Amino acid sequence: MFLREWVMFSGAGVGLAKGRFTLHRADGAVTMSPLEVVALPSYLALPLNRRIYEPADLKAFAARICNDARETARLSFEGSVGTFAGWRPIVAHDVCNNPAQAHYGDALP
Amino acid sequence: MNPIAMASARMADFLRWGADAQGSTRPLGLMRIAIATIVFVRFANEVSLYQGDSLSFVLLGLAFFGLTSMMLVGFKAQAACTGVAITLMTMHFYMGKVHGYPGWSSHHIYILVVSVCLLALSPCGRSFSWDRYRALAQARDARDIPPEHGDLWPQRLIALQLAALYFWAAVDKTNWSFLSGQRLEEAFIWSFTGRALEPLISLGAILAVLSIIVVVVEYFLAFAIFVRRWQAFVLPLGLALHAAFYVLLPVNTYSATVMVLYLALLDPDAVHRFLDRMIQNHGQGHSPHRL
Repeated sequence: MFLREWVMFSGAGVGLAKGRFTLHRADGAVTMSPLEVVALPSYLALPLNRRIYEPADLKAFAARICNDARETARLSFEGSVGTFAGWRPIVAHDVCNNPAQAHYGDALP
Repeated sequence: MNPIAMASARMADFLRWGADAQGSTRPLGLMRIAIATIVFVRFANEVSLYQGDSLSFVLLGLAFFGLTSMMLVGFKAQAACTGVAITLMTMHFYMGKVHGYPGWSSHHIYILVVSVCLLALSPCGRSFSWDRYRALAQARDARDIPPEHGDLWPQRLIALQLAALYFWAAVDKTNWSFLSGQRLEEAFIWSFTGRALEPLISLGAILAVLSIIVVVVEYFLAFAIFVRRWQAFVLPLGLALHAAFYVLLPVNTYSATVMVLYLALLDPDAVHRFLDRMIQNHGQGHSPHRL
């Protein structure tokens, strides 16, 4: 008990995105930072169940846009996500309508 | 000296330092007060009676406030610490790990649980406590006054816990993802994105250098905190590390807890003499405004 292994920074930053989201609207593409997508003042306010633990979780991360019935444009993501092993590149062509096709990439952008 | 005799002498030294250690209980008394305050600050809002959504949660809150207050003032100090330890274990292991109360299963809480458990095994009520105040009030002569002196093996275990904390924290960080600065960047993105200090995220190679420094310092502290002749610079180094954690990352009560536990590393009798010197008024009378 007293010699338990200590895991520091255990969850800090894991499941957070670094990169850019793009809304492909008919009148042109709109680029947004991950923080703009979650629409919070800081990641400290982001609930754990909205973090990205696997590529398909991007939809939960972008729930503000995906759950907005008025927003019909395709949302894509290109960047990386924080894991316990460091940054992993991740690519999603259609975050909201086809989250299953989101996948880890080969190299960091 | 042959190896067996040398090993035997080292073991005797270790037992004198550890299991057989005795000395002033003032550092334990100070730790009891400070840890009770930290426990109160960490949990009071979350277990206040208005948060109770069931009778058992309300009872947990009542036990928490009653026992923490007793620990703070040192009323039945060891029993109070035992009660707080049981309460914290229930919150950490049962409600945190089993039922998933947010934040209650973290290592910040674990270090509080271990600290209170060890204080419960120590004579932490012999100094700075209601127990001592009552004993002094009831004493008829000097022989009735209880000594501020006792077994210190729980204090030594607190010191060993600190060393284990540093060592395993460093082991956990000894990998490419941390040493390359990626994990620190992740932590900074979590803390600073959208804030005034967001440029810290873009420090690049400096984050890798900072990461390596943190790991080297933690490995060093794991052993150096026990070398008494180094303490004059080792303890400020450790305190600076925890102060940096506190202002840069949302570590909650962790830094304050570890800083308080540094009292376990000091020579108890030196702490006792220091407090005596601080309290003496050097013949300037007893009126506060004349000091």
